[in-house]
Amino acid sequence: MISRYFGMIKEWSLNKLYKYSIYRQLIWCFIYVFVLPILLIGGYNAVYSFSKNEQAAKTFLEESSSQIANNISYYMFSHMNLLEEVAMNPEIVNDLMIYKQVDWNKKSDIENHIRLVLGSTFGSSGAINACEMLSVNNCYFYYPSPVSNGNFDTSKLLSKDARQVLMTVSPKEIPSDPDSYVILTRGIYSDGGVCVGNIVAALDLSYFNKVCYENVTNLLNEVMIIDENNIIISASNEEQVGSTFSGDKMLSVSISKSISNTNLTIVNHIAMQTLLKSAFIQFGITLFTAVLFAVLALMFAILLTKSITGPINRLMEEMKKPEVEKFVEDDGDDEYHTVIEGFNKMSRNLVEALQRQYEIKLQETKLRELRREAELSALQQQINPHFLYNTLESIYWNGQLEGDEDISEIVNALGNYLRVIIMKGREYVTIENEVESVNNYIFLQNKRFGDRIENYWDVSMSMRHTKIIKLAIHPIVEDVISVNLDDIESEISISISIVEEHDTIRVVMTGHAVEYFLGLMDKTDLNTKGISSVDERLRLYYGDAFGVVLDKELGEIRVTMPVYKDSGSEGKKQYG
Amino acid sequence: MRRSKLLIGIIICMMILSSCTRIDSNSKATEDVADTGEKAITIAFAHKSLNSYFYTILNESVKKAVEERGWVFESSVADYDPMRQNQQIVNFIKQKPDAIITTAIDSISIEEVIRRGNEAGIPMCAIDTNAVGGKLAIDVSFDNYKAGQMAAEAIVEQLIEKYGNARGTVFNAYGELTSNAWRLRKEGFEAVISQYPDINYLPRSTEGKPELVKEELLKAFEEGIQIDAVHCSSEHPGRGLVEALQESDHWYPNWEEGHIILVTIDAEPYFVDLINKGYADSAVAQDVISYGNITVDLLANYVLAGKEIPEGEYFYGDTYWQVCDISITDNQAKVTIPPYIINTDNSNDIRHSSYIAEKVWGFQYNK
Repeated sequence: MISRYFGMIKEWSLNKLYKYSIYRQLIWCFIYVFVLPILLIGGYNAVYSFSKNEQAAKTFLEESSSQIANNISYYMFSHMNLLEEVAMNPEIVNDLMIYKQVDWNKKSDIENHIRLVLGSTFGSSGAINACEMLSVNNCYFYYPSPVSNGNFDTSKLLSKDARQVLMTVSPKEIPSDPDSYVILTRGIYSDGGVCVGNIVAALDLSYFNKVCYENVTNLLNEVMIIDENNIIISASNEEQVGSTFSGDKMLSVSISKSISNTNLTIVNHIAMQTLLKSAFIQFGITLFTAVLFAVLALMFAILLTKSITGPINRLMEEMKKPEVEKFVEDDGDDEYHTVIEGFNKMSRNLVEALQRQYEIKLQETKLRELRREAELSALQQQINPHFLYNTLESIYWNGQLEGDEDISEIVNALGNYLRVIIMKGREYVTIENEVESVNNYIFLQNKRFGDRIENYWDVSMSMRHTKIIKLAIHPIVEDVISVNLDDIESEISISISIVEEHDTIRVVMTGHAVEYFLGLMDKTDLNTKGISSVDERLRLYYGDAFGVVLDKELGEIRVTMPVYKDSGSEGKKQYG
Repeated sequence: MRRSKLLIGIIICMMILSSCTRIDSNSKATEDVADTGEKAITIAFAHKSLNSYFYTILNESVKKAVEERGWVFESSVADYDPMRQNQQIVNFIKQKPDAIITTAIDSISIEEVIRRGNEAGIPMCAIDTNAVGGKLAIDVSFDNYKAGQMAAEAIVEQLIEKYGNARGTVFNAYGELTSNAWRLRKEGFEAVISQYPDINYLPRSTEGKPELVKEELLKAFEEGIQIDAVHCSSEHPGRGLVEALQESDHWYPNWEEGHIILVTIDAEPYFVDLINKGYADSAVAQDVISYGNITVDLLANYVLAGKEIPEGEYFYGDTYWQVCDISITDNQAKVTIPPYIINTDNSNDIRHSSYIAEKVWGFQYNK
């Protein structure tokens, strides 16, 4: 199983990798080895960090909220207690009851007394922004400024029925002060249980704001205090004060705790976005590092590739050259120097091998030529030209004596024909001789087959002394005519043109006989020994640039060969 | 080679850093809060008392003027105890506020602490009641003499309207003459009244107590004196005039027969209300709210800014009176708040201290 998976991995990654260029291989190697692990570790770390932060945040919020709730609860309890104390003070109750009935002096005494009580009770607190005492018969006492509008009927802050401290968060009923306060209200009752007045105190929200602000950590939690209507009365983020708390728990880690002694709730929460932020930052750093590594990978890949492919490219350039002018020069001391040295050695060996091959081929050619010459010589040796010519001479003269001109002409033609073929020691003949040889052949054949062959020459007179290799045209004409004679009973025509272009002789054969011959090439096994012999000899002597071409499309046979330049001895001209 | 090693080292460090970075959640955000080192300006107010509507509003005016500028307001109330007030000022000096404002209970005994404040380099300011000795950066006071004159002139005007010339009987319930303010008001009042020989002037010492005011006026009525106008140098005792008029069946609005001319000094909401109802004819206004405003304004613009307060007329746009006078003596700026008359023609103007204190600031007046 493991090997199977390993095989799959190898198939998908390594095998594919091997197909890439060195440049891409290096990049992918670097990504696999460095970038990918960084991304994986960074990603895992970000997720782990988020999870751990979330758990830590919950614990922190729980502890923090409890502490805040306890502090506020105690704070509120102490202030409510102060209100209770004043409301239950029998002297205060008495002052409110008698104020309207007493004289100016007593009124002044009562005002002083109430003010002193309010001042001594709330003055040292620092949290009480203002407090007020109001009698049911509309006598006002405030320290240092009023809270309500002073009217039991229209005030929302006053209540005759408040037998315990009531709490609400609202602005004072003072036009000039729009700020919100925690308003504490308590009715003041006589011994008989009759309401004689009311005490109202406005607690500054600065304590709540301070608590909210001080409990914000660098976890970037938000602390807010909301009233029973879910209105945010204080928050670490001041912009939220006065708005309604939405309590969207999906987007935050949130802890809510009711504050005892109050109708307030503390909400301590951390936006999910904040927790994610640290994870994002972490992943961002990782991503940045990965990108940096990728860039470095690219740079290294380019540099390394250059160092690898540079010498290879140089070798390639050298290899593309048709001739080895000089070997690759390299004065380095690295692996490529060894490769280049190897290449140079290989090139040297190759050149030497080619040289040897060429010499062997030349040797073989020479041997083959010598063998042919030996064969030809042996054949010629078998024929005694003088005997043959004397015999033909006797036949000619007998024909003359007998008056048989045909015999004389045939013998004459045959003699000329043989003279060219078995000519000893001469490999080259003039075009005139070659033409004459062909004509003799055709003459002889016409004699035999009743003048069925017609041939046409297109040769410039200036070319008649131009020398070409012997039997370069004759064997081809013989092959063509032989096939035609075997198959066709009508007249056989063949046109032969010879032109010289840039020291090259071009012989072109056309006509019905040629077309018929070429037409049978693929259909039957023709005797083309003559054509093959000419082609082989021309290629052997002058190279593959020369030879015989059987062109079916144009319906012609072309023979190309160089003009023989007489250099004093009958040697062969060397061509590439 | 060394470069390569360095590069490899940096890369390894970055890898370790990127893999190990985690935000520490334990440290407090408050650690990041930079301490700007700027201390908020603190103004201390050593008040003599809150035992009257006037002083309560005076306290509020200073408090609001300070807090509106974003400054810190510290206050103390001495309840007419000069020794206590001095101790409170000494305590403030130790706290090194940017300035101390006081309403002196005893103009003479306060000298010592004013000097201490001077030595500590704290600008010392006095409002309503000045201090003798020591150096006051700002001394804001009311032109009590002129207020007395204006009250008398208002009565004379009403008498001329009633009789065609300045004649009749004028009852003046003046306060304790040990009080500088009441003494000056009386002197100003009498300086005008004395110009009219046909006016029968009945001055009565009432010690600034409403019950004595009431008693003296009722006594005058019982003696069968035909009184045309009554005046009290302050409205707190002036309530005794109202009760006496009510109890002696002389409580008529000015459009009814038997109306007695009533002119007071201070123009608190209760008396402005009486003017609106026609029972009182006019009140000489003492703009208590401007005390705090102009003091803090001069502190902010000149004293704490290190500039000299300009001498001459000082324009203060938010007030009814608009322009006051500043005199400079030995680098001490004496600001005199001018009195002005409130009568039926202007009693509803929203710039009056009475309107602002009651309607805007919510300070109800115990009638």
